Parts: sequence; structure tokens; C-alpha cells
Amino acid sequence: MDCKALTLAAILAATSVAAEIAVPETSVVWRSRATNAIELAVEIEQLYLTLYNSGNLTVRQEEIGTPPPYVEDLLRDQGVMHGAHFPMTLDAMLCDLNPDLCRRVRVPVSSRELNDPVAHVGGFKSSRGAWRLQGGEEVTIPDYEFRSVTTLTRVPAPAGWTSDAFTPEPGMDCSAWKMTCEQVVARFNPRILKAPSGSVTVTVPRLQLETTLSLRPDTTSQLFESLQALRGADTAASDTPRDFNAAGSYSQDWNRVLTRQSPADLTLQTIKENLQPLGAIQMKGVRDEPFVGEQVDLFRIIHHPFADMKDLDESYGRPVDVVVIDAPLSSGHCDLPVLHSPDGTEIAPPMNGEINGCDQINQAAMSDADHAAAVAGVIASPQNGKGTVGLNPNARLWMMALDRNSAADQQILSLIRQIQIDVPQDVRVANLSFGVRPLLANPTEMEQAMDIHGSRLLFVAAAGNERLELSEGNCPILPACLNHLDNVITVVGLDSEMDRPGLWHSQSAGSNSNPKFDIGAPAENVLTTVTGNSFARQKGTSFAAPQVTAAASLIFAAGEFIYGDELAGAQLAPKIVKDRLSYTADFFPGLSAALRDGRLNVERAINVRDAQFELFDGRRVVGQVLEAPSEFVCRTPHRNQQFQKWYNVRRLGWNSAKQRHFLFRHIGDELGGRYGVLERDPSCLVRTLSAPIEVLTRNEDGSSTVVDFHFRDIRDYTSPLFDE
Amino acid sequence: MRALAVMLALVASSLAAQDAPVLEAFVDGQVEARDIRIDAQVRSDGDGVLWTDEISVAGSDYIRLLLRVEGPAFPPGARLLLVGALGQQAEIALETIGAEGLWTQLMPFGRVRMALIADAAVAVESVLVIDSIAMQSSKVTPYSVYGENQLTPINAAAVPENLRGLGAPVAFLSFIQGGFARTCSGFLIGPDLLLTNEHCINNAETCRTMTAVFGFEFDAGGQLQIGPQVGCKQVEERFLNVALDASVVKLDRAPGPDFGQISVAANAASVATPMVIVQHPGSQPKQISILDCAAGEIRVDGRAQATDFTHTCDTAGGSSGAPVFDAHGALVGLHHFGFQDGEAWETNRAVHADLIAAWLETLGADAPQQGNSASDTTGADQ
Repeated sequence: MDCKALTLAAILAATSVAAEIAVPETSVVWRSRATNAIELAVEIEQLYLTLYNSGNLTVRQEEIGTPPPYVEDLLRDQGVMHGAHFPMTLDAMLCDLNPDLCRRVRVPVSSRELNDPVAHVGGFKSSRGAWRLQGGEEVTIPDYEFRSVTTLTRVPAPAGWTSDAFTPEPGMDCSAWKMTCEQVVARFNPRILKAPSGSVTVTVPRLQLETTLSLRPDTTSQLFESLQALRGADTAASDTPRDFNAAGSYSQDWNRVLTRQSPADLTLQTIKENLQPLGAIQMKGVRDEPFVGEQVDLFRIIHHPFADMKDLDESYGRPVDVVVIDAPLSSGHCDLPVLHSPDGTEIAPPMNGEINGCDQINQAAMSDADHAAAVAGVIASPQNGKGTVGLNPNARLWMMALDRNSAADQQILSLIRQIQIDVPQDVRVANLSFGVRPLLANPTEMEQAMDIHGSRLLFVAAAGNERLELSEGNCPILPACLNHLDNVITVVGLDSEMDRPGLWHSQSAGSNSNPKFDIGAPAENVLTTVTGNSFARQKGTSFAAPQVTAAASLIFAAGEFIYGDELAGAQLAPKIVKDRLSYTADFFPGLSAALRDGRLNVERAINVRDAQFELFDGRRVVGQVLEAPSEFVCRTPHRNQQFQKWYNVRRLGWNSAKQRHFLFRHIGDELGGRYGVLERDPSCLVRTLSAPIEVLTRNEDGSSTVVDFHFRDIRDYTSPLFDE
Repeated sequence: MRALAVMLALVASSLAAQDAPVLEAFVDGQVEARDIRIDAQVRSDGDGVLWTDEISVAGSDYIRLLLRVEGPAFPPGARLLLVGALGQQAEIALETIGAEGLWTQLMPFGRVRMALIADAAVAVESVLVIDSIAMQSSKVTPYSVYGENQLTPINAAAVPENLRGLGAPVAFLSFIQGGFARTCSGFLIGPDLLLTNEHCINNAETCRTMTAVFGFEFDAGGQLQIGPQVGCKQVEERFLNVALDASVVKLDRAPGPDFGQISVAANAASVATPMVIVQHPGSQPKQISILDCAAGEIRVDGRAQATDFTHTCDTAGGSSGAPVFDAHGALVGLHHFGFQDGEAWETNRAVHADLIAAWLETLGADAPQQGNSASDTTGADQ
């Protein structure tokens, strides 16, 4: 077994062990939906590929006779292949299942294909296998028992069709309706008055195939629980042990994907249309969250798509690893995902029987553990029909315990060690909702510990609740005051005023501020999870920071989804994401003394693909820029900066107080580069009046439209994450 | 008769000791007026959790809150829940807050989360006020050390087990005096009686603000621990001895059964070297002075004639009121002066334990129950 095989094998093995306690093996019923033999072959192909690629294909050994049959014939003889043809991908899959009997050319697929679990075979392109069967060998084949079931369906029929025209296929069984299939057709297709002329739609029986799928135990699954809740004991797998396909032949990239995604959920999501009962296994939508109504105000303030009860689209579906460094948590929560620890342990949500409704508000939950649970919930409370929803319900959460019960300098020493050593490999964002004022510790060591993650990890730090007016020269709070690093962004707490936000403060606390701190987010009335499977409305910068953390994780998800095909396995640089959050923030003149950029705007930040324009006439134009001036005049107080390079401008915003634009641009890098300094010019008078802009926008029906306007019409412009 | 003679001698000699410096408890932080008003405008209606908030003071080792109630009394059961670091949690029944207000217990690391909870509706005019906050802020402790600082955490591996056991009855005292947060050390001499210096706790006002923190120490693994905090119930005039700089404080509950007590025996041991002092220097967790800890002059003037002995044990501001033991664990003195505290004395000073024992005898039936010999000195269960 090679190294990459070991990776998944170890994961699957570990999953099984953990699941013996928390999550049993489960089963679901798959049913075909094909209307003809060609479609059926495709459905079988997709079923097997999904199961194989997620490590959930149950297999058995079948001894073949002499002369050896073709593998297609073998499968059909054993009743595990149906449909009009035998797709090459299934031949490739069988070849990989039988490496001692078959060889094939295996070319890794692109990262874009990798995102589709039925577009590859274990991460490799499909290819025809070269079999070396002589007869008498044992061949590994899928182990499923397909049953014929008769269901009813609506199909088009020619004008004048009557139920007499129906002839049942062999094997159709309508005994469930306590009548013959002919009688069923007559009953469901009565003669009707003023029937439409021309073709009609009628109800007829059809034969479908059905089989039971077993899924490996999977503690990382967010769907197992709802599956069990829905179907009770039926979901338990049979007592007969099942053999699943080994993961030894997957590509390295595919193995990596599987380490970050629940194999069971991957399976269920991909074949959900075929599962019985239909729709039961689908991921819940944001509308299904009982407390979402209380969260909407927050979503509106930060312009999160959930404000309109819209689910996030597939661009944001890839689970991004996020670590919360906070107080230790000792138990899971009914509305939190599986919490991973760097030491390999996991805290799973309690089973249904262990919780009491998952709907209790407990405002007296104030322990350090409650704090940690609350931060986690703001980021990643899943869409599961319970409680709240996090700002990135697909995030994969890691919890790193920080001992806050020690002196400040000791805390810093512990934190430095944790940051240097313990942060798991694939984590993209770290949330630090705490602040420490060192007595003697040298901030430089802390700075270095964070800086070494400059290429892989964005730290999001809370500004702190001491109501301090800090400045560049007087900023002793760690890690908040280290935001001069490219991978540290500091979050100031704001109140809930939509149009004129101010610094958050309460009777006894308030957000620290600093004109050099980066961004703000609401720090009051944040409804989230606390321990004991309860919820609480929280306040403080601790709960503003995770909003930015979640937004950052969505940028990573979308950016790496959209641009990932350029370099397989590559990730976004933290600076790119930090800058993105900065230049997409909502600007408010009243906040200038408290922070640098403005208030978090999730929608603007996470639409990484498009140029976004808001025009003075109220139009919003989103799409790809076809035409724009390569340079425009924008007077600033700085010499030699009057001519702005279009490709260096990240944001052109409107300051209504000054009646001038403000400008974010990258400087010091090549034209269009994102790795230079992100500079904010607070005052810029656009003098280019008539330069045309053309934007290719997408319509809901999939068509495109070119929208054009003049440069002078631009009230607000945000560049895409990258220019292509 | 012996005790009376001692007292008379002390009174007579007090004039002779008039050049003694003015002793003052260690200033550990300041008190800042806040006037945070939890009135009907900020409270939720009805019952249950009516208000939550937090206070965080960056860089402060601890904070304490002065609570007041204005307007009609809160209904029975109304309480302020405080949750802090190190597992510190307190529920303060608002009906127990008198006109003079109430200082909460100490909340470590300068942070506390608060919830106002009521089981019944609260009158609109009732207001809970967080009047002031005492914030630990001293960062440089003026050590009265000889040579190198040899103070050692009480649970350090280098500390012998028998000496470590002496420390359990020793508490960190936090109180407000003259508008400042101050600290001293003190130790149990009865189940609910604590001995400290008179210059630390000397009147009802100071008593009312005091919290005695037991078990405030690093454990063997270096993890900071804090045990229970106990308030001062009473300090009577006759339990104060200015000349001996001693004060016997009655606590509002009895930690003695859990933490043991130190015997101030009638036949208290004589001063001998080597010695050890268990103490809370500055605002720090419990430490012990062992190395180079010895007596100097055996009879010197303190606040009265010949009440003190000098010593070379390392101490610091905040160590006032700490017990001085001989090498056998017998109490021999009550530390009350570090030489950097003032100019008049140039050496560390402690009051002889035998004089304190004699004074305690004069208190009669109300005096703390004492053992009969130095060997009765007890440590706590560890």
C-alpha cells in the first residue's frame, strides 16, 4: 500500500473506530429514476462511482469460470449491472478494484473535475482496463441485490390516448394498489371534460430498480443524524458485515478531498435524488433553521445571503477548515458540527436521545466554555433544522484549547507554541476571540509565530472589550495589535445601527478601537450556541470576529473552487483574503477614527468572480468587465498618483460626506498584482467623465447581456478577486 | 497575670517606640468610579435573566466590583451571577446589599461576566449600580529581599513536604482602604478566625471590603489555582492590638476544617534560626521564603518596646500579616515590615509570637481556641 493509500485508509479506519460509539453503520434505499435503458445504465454508473469514490462501495469476491467472461457479462450475470450499455468508467473502476488482474492508464483529473464525485474514478480519468483473466480467478465486484419495484409516473402521451392503450411490461406488479396494472391506469387516467387537444400527460406504472446501500460509520457526517431521526431503526445496517472497497488506488488529490469532506455526506448528497424517502436526505436549507428569524437582522447588517433566506450556492460548499482557539470544550452541541482537535480526537454532536429539544435560550451561560461554543456557532452552526445557522455552515471546525487560566505572559507562551506547532495542516482561518496584555513577554515572538503562517493561515483577532482608544504607537493588546502582518486582520465591535453604525458599547464594556484596526462587525445581540445544547444572545468583539472568520472561510472556499483549476491543490494566500475583506467593507465616515476600512460586507466579499458596480442611478451591475479604461484620472493629494491603473484598483467607493470617492489600490506589484501593499486613499476626485464601461452580466435563464455605462456613472466598484 | 504584665509593659513602652514608621498596607491597585446603572431601561422585562454584560480590564491580575442598590428593594431571589476565570463564580443576593454597598469577591485576570437574574418581576424604580471597580494594577513589587530574591512558589519541588503543609491556612487578603486596593497576608488561627496585621485590617469599614482568598497558589504542575474566598464578618476593637500590630478577624464562614489552622500556643516557641515565612508577596500566589531566612536581632523595638525581632527572610509588599515559622513548623512571629517599606527601620521585622499568644489569652472566652504547644501547629489536608 503506498503512502497516499495509507492516508485514506487511516482516516476510514479511524472513522470506523470512533463511530463504534457514536455513529453506527447505516443504510439507505436507492431507487432508479430512469425512464429508459440508456438512462438506467448512466444511473448505475453514477451510483457505483459515487460509492466507490467515497469508500462506500460494498464488494464481494466472485469466482469466474472458464473461459473467463467479459467483466460486463460477469456483472450482468450476477445481477449488479443493468441498462443498455456498460460505461467505460465502470470498467475502469472494476480494473482499479482488481489491480492484480487488470492494469490501465491512470491520469489524474483536473481540480475542477475533482469537485464532481462522478467525473472521475478515484481521482483519475476513466480509461479502458487491460484484463488478464484466464478463468478460475476471484474477481472483486459490487455486492448489491437489485429488486424490481413498480411505481407510478407521469409521462407524455399522444393525443387521443386512452387507458386501453396501456400494456404492462413483464414483471410489473401493481398489487400494492390491490388491483391489476391495467386497472391502476384506468383509475389514474379518468376521462375528463374538455380535455386539452394535442399531446397529454398520463399516469402509468413503471418498473424501477431498488437496492439497499450500506454506508460506513462516519462521525463527520452531518446527515447521518437526520437520516436516523427520520427513519428510526430502519437505517441500521444489516447484521451481516459488509466489505467496502479499499481506498488504496485513489489519487493523492482525491485522498486530500476526502480528508476534508464527510464520505457519507458526499455519497448522500450526490445520489440524493435516488434515495428513499425522496428529499429526506437533503441538507436542510437556511429556512429550516428555527431561530433564523432572530438572526436576520445581523445577516442584513453584514449583507449575508442568508438575509434573503437564500442558501449559499455550490461555490461555497467546499468545507474550509477553520480553527477556533478558545477555552476548551468538553462536549458537543446539537447545533454544532463535529469538532476536531489537533490531537486527533473529535467531539460529535449528541445523539437525538441525549438532548432536550435543542431549542432552549440560556442567557446565564457565561463560562469560558460557553464562550468557545458561541464563537464556534457563529462560524459554523450547520443547516440541520435546529437552532441557528452559522455564517458558513459548511466550514469544518477545529477547536484548539487555550488555557486562559494563567497569567498573561504564560498565556502568550502557550499560544506561541500552539500556533507554531499545533495548527492542523489544512486550516485556512484561525479565530482568536481574546486579547492578552503581556507584562514582560516580547510581542515579537508572538508576531513571528503568526508570521510563519503567512502563506497558509489567516488569523482573525478580536479587538477586545476594554473600551480602549488605541493607536499605532500605543497598542499593547495581543494578538489584535499585530494586524500589520499580512495574515492578521483585527475586528472592531460595532453596534447594530444599519445606516450609521458606531462603536459597540454596553453598560460596562465596549469595543477597543484603533484607526489602524481593519474592519468592523456587529458585536451585540448575536444569537448563537452555548453549552448544554442551548443558545444565547452574545455581545462583545469575541462574537464580531467570528463573523469575519466565517466570511474569510467563504472567500477561501469560493476562490479555491473558482480559480483552483489553475494549479491543483493550491490555496489562496491569506493576504489576498485579508485584503478582500478590507476593500469590500462598507464605508462609513463616522467610523474613521475607530477602524480603517469599514463594516464587513459578506456579499461583496464573497462574490469573488465578478466585478461589482453600483451606479449613481441605482443600478447594480455584476459580471465580467469587457471594456474599461486602462487608466483614469482620480485626483489625490499625492503627487504622481493622479492616474490610476484600472487593474490595480480594487475598490472605488463613494464618500457622501466628502462628495468624493475613496480608493483602494494595490501598489508595488506588477500591473494587476495582488501582492503589493493595499493602499487606501480617502479622497479621490474622479475626472474621467466619458470613458465607457461594458460588463457582461448573466441572466437567471443562463443567457448573457452586455450592460454599458459611463465611468462617471460609477458610485461604487469592486474588482473581482483576480483578473483573468 | 503574665498577659496583663505584657500589656502594661507594652502600653508603657509605646512612647519609647514613637520613632516607628507609619505602617501601611501594600497598595496593589486603584479604585475607579464607574456608576454603571442597571435600571429598567437596560433590563429585560419579566423574570429570568434580565441583563448580562461583562467587564474586562486588560493587564489587571484581578478586579472587584462595588455594588449598590437604589430604589425599592429587589424581590427575594434576585441575584447577580458573576462568572470569572479559574472557575470563580459567585451569586450575590441583592437583598443582602446594604446602604454602604457590597464589594464582590476578587475576579481573577481582570475579567468577569455578569447576569442579573430574578425569579419575580422587579420594580421599575429598582436599580443595581456597579458603583466602582477596584483594579489590580501594580506591576513592580517593591521587594524587601536580601541579596537575590529567593522567594519560592509553595508547591515547587524544592520545598520540603512538611514546610509546604504549613501554607494551607495562609490566605491572600484583598481589601479597600483609603481609596486604594490593598493586599496583605493572613492565616487561620481558628476555624473562622484569621490573624493578620493591625495595619491591614483595623476597622469595620476595612473588614467590610475584605476577601480572604485561600488556595491561591501554583500547583505542582505550575497551574494557577484559586480556592474559596471568604469575607470578613467582624473585627472588634478589642481584637485589635496596635502595639503588636495584630488583628484577629472573624470570617463570615469557617474555612478551617478545609484548610487547617496555625496554633499560636501560649508557650509559643522562641525565635530561632533557620526560619520560613509563608506569604503572598505583592499580588502574587502563595510563596515561601526558606533560603537565607534567619533571625537577626532577637529583641528590638517595634511599635512598642522589644516586641519585634529582625529577620533576613525575603518578603515584599503584601507579605504583611504572614506567619513566621521555625524549622520545626512552630509559629514564632507575625511578619509586619519589609525594610523597603519605610526609612525608620532598616531591617525586616516580625512581632514575637509569644507576645501575641499572651495577648490572645487576655481575650478570655472569646479568644480563639489555641493548642497547648508548638507541636499542635497544624497544616491542612493537602
